[in-house]
Amino acid sequence: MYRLLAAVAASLILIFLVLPLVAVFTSLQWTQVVVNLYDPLVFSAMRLSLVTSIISVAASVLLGTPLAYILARGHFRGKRLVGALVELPMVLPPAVAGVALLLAFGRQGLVGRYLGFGLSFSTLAVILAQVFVAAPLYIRAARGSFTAVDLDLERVSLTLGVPPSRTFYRVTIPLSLPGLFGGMIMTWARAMGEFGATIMFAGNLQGVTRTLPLAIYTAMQSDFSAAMVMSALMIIVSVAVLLLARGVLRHPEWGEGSVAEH
Amino acid sequence: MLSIEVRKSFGRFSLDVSLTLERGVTVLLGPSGSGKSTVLKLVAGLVEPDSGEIVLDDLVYYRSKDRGKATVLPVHRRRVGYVFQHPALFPHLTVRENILYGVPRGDDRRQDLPELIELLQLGGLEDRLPRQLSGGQAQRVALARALITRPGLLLLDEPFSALDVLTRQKSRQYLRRVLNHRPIPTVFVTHDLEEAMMLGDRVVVMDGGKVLQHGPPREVFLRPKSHKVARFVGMRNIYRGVVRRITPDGLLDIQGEKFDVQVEGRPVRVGARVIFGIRPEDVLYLRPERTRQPRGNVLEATIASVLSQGFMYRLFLRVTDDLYDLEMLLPRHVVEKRRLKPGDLCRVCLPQSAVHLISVEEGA
Repeated sequence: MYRLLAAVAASLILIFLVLPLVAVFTSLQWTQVVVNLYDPLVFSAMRLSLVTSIISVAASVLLGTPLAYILARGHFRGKRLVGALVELPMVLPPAVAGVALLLAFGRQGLVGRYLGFGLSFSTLAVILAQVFVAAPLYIRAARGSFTAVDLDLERVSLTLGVPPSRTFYRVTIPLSLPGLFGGMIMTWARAMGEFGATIMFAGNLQGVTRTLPLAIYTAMQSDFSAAMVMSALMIIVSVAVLLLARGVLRHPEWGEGSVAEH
Repeated sequence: MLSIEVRKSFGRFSLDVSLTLERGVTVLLGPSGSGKSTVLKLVAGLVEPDSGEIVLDDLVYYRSKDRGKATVLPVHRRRVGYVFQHPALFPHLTVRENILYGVPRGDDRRQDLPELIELLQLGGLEDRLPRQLSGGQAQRVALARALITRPGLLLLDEPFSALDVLTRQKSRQYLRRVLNHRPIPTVFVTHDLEEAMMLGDRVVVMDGGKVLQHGPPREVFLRPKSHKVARFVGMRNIYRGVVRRITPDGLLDIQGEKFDVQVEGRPVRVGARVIFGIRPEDVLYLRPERTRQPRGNVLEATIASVLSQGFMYRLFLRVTDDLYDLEMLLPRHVVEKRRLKPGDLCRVCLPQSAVHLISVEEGA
């Protein structure tokens, strides 16, 4: 009896999750796809999304990795507070993030006031919005994978005469790689999909700040078929990212179980 | 020569150790929580002392401010080889890459690889990943990885305790072989008495963060200097007593809490309170048909219980009204041939040379 109920519940939610995605593809008129893909509006939105999201991921990795390591290995007062602050943007509604970014980096903002100019309504603003909402995903994943590396491996490396910096590159990084990579993919997906904070802080200027999600929103009001094509595009990208992430995590030398058995 | 003089406290535990270790293998022996592993970590630099000094030959590892120029040599500059209880091999590197990890390309020490592989019988495993090795193999790789850096000091923290009995015995032989080949001053931590006896040139018994006794293994095992050490090294029969007189041939005549004995030993004044003991394997069983009076302390005892330990039997004997007063170890054939069983009477002998005077309470 319970088995049957569980099966029904499972099927319902599964259908609910998949159906809208299927709807996008069944509604597509394939002749429209070709026309829309060559539409300069679609093309520029796609290019902007790719460029900004890749830069956002790079910034998250470069700036986030040291912080993640400190949070994983360091002992200092206020560590829990720092850890919580870093994760806060993940649970913040994107619209609130947009307002907050404006108040900080807008022309009249906390920082903007002293800069003499605002960072808002520019491509840089798009990147800032993406980093703000997506970097915590990377930092969290990186922190988790650093923590999972057996401390004794790092200790052994030191006793073998390898200094701390090289121990980090030769032991900690390679062993955390699957987690770091997973974090990067999640961060990238989040950055690609960023909408709320971007539209509030960066605006919706074609070619400058109109990323794919914003372009979809805009197209909804005029050219619905373009919105459909772009949605289909993003679904395909998302599925590809998901498969890639799974593939990396199952890599024979990296996958679970390879990290120190004892 | 390694000289250690350190203090370190963690919460309620405090460690205060002062040791000078010559060449050879020094075994740090003690129950868990005695601080023996902490000593290794302090020497390796994985834990920093509160104060004191650690010096290997001319190289100052650590020196606190109060002793001159404060020094904390970073771990990677101490040239120590450290092997943990678990092998801690790098899971993403092959056996060869693991062993060569600490010696950069172009370094002469890389030429030691074939010799170490031969010595530790790792031939054929070079391209395996750590997860494809058995426990004993993995631990040998860890040892090779430490040795190839030609450390000035080898620190082994219960390296064989996670292995099964057979592998453990083999691994000890490998270690002996390697150390005969390349004598490196070694500090070996264990709580295994047999291991200490087999590998140690010296034994340091620790408990509660302090050194209790320090000396060659035979001396520590057969001549413990305190009740605690005696208990830890397996001297199961320990008694209090008072020296009654000194016999003409120089033996101490002791009135014990359970029975009286005569003991060979250093001169002790009459009336002194002493603690003495005998190892179970040193208690002799006297055949009933034996008529010649043996030299030594002969006791009439009742067998309280007989415990089989496989190849040996442990007999618990009673000479007073207590549950039991004396433990002895007998080979299986003796127990079976004599059909020794609880309730039987027997005669045992505690040879004067085997009864050991553990300590004398001065000023009592």
